[in-house]
Amino acid sequence: MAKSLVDRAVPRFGFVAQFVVVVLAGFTLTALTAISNRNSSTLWIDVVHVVMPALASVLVIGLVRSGVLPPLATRAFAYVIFFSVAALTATGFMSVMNGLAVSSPNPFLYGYSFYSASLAYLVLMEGRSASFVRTFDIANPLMLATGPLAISVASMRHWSIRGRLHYFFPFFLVGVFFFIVLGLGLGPALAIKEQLNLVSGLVFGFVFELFIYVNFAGLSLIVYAVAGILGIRVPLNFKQPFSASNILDFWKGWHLSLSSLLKELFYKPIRARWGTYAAVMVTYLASASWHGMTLNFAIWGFLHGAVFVVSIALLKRKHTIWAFIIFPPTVVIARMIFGTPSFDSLIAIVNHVPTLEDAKLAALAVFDWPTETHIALALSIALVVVEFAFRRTPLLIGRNYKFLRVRVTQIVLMAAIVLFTTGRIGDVIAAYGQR
Amino acid sequence: MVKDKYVWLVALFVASYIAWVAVSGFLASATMFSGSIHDQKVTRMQGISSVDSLIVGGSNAVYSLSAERLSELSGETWFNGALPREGFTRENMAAFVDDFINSVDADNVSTVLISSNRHWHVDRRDSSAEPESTPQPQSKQELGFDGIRDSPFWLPSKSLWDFVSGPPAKVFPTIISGQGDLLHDATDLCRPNLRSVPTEWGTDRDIDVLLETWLPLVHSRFPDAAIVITIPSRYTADPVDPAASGDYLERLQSKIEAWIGAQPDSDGIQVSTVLETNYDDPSLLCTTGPHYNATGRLLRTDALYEKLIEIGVKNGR
Repeated sequence: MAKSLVDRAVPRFGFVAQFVVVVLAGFTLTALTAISNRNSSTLWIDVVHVVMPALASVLVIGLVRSGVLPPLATRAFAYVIFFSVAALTATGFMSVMNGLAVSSPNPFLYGYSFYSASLAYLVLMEGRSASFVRTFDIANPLMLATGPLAISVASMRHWSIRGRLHYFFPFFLVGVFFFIVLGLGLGPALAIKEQLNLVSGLVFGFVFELFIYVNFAGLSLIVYAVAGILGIRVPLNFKQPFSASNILDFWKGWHLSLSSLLKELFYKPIRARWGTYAAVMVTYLASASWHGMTLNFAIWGFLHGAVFVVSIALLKRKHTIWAFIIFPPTVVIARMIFGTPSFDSLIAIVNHVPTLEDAKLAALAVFDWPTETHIALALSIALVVVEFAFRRTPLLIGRNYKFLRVRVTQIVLMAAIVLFTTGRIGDVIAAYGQR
Repeated sequence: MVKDKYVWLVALFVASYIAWVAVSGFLASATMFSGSIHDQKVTRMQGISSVDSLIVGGSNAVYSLSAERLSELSGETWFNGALPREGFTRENMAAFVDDFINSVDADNVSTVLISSNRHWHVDRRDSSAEPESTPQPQSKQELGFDGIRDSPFWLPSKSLWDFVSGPPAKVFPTIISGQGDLLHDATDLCRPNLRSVPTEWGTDRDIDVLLETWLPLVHSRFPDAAIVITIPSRYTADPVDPAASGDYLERLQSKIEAWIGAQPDSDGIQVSTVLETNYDDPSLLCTTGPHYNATGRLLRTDALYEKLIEIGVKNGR
């Protein structure tokens, strides 16, 4: 059977083609939204959003390819690029990335944290052999708008369009279900962060963890599917993180593109010199600085690093149950710290002695959530429970959402999307994207 | 012929989704409190040939200011263009004002009164607390508050589940008068706010947000109009601390001057501020909220008009 035009184009122009398709789709969506809102001012911003990352990528790749920088300086350059985000947040040019401040305050720095991290990885791993073609995935608006980092991207020459659709569309549906039904539904629940006390803080930490998961994993799955259908394989950014029995397992499934980058930039070189524990702590503190130069993130990074180190020690001694016991509270408390907007607010939460009134207020707030939020919360909890409880069954052991891609669950997901989607609650935002 | 059942399922899913997005869009505006007010105000505006003065702002002005009374007092034609939640979003409010301009002669608008409650700082710690005198709401949906934001065009305004299983949607009758005022007697509407009233004056950042929300929008659409930013009258048992209100007004005016100075046509821009009188009579209030009922609205409107004469924006009759 003759290959379709798309099939023939992918091997040759895959990266360029998917970039062009994504840019055109993005402009079309912006134009339709502008028409709907009768506001055309967002159109020029889209142009800046596309041009700046591409320009930065070309400049960085051009510099390392030119050979001006010796090997050691090239490595140092990768770290400079990575930490430039921390410097920009410390100086106030960029907002922090706490999953709430989602939009970039400066259109010229749109998506900077993502493409700078991808460039740091590229410079470190490929150096002078870095190809200009990588611009098309590093500066890809779809990635920059949603969050997964453009590392380990490859063209899928051997798959037909039909085969790709067959494999990747179920991922798309899972992503839409996560992002729209669960993510939008959970949106109103996040307002509970306004009650600065420990009870509400923990409820917020729990709900916010679920929200970040379904929002970011949902978008990552959509990106994975769309890129796959267009003939480009990007890494699966989330792999059932709650199919885990300790914090080590958890991080094997959470924001894997960033984890891979941190592993190469920090974990591996430091472990070789100073050992695993130091490597873990430095890696988490580096991750914290990438999210923003605030005390909250430093505490978040330190907490995760410390619990990771303790869990390694526990697992070495076969204390698996203790490694499990400290895992869920760490995730919830760390997320509360991560999402609390300032250190002062965090101090206010910690200093406030929990009272029965706090619990009553939190319960009232939970009761007052819209029906869709209650449904989204129930479904999100069910998702986490299934991921954990059945993690050793054939459908879940591969940690690639196969249990949501089988025919029967796909039908359930389709029905849920039609039944529960509404745009009147929650915000259509990429919790990790655009900054 | 596609034999794969999955493909047909996906096609059915996409068709169902698109159909519901379309249907929910039609249902939403007729059954949402905010949507009804928006739509009815647009319709009323189209029935007016010329407007001299316009009220914009949030729910305080929807409930507690009367364009008809101001018209009686001034002999001019006023229109109440305020929307609940200040138009849901800035874009929504801008679209609403554009509707207004398209339906009347905008050149005739000599005064735009901005009545926003954003002069008070919303303390994060208190924002969820309920006022003691306010009965707990059974549900916001029961009060008809099922539409506080616009949906993106590709999402349904209401979920199919909510439509099928939720309480029957409240279809609002005529609730807006010919000049944009809320008809307090039309239905049991006088219970909009479920939260306590903030009492702390706005921070500099709050003022920035308020001005960024309103001044560019109003000035760009009505470049020749005098702008009045009024600090709305409110029910309060405690007298206002004159030092605190004086400090706030000073900060507000200095920010306004800075904004005017930054405009290319700064010489022609006139922005005044008014601090309205507060009342401690609970009988002027809506049953469960901080906005005024019809009697309170009349009192507030009359007092505001006196202040407009005092600052020289209006001359009286």
